Amino acid sequence: MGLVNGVWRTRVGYAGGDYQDPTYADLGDQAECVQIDFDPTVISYGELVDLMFALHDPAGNAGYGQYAYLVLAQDDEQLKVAQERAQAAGEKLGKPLTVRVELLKKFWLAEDYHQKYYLRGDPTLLAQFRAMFGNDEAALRDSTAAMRVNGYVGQSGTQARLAEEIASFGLTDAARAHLVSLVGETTSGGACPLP
Amino acid sequence: MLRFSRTLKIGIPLLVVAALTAVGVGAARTTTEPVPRMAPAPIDTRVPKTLETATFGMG
Repeated sequence: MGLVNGVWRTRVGYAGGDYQDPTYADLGDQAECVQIDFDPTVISYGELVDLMFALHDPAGNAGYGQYAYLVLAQDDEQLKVAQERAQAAGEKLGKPLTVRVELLKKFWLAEDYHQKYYLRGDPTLLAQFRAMFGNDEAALRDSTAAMRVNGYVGQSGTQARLAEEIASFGLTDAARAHLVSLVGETTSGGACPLP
Repeated sequence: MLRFSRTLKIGIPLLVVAALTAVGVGAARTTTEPVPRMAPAPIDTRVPKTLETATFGMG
């Protein structure tokens, strides 16, 4: 999601349940979630919901517990849009939907080590952002550059797209060359337990 | 013999003090060395003021 045009910030956390102060080791009834800050003049909420349905079949495996498949609307307006998009997706598929569409009660931030997970696994690139932000974890989490680099390290981007925007990430020449070398190659960092 | 003993009595503590001072100076230099700072990424300086938020459980 961090490489989608119009998306400026992402963070991972827990939502969808009632359990208070969840942690990764003690989630209660909360599910692992991603929260996205986007520019509605570039991409609409409905388009993001459609993108979610394209990435995960809304009539497929609904997930369970911490892996629940959810669309959690911020307000009634988003809820209406999400329900309409879900209904349209269901009619197109001709199957009942399994995704839960409901209002967000509360989003709990996940632990720092889950934020920008792929980036954290690359010492060369992480050092660049430490040099920008020091140990300010909130700044790292909310950085658009860190989000984009995280997406490329996680193998979500293309070399052509990277070439277009790499100058905007503020990296040194050596770090740029390192990032370019990663895109298109297979990494062995393993999947983040959170989206 | 007496002179050699006196040399040891004074010399060894002096050597210990000198060694500890060297270690202390080295440690101080290591801890106070400034971390190189980099300017914020250009993309981080042009985040739109008005953003909306979406939340998904990715299954």
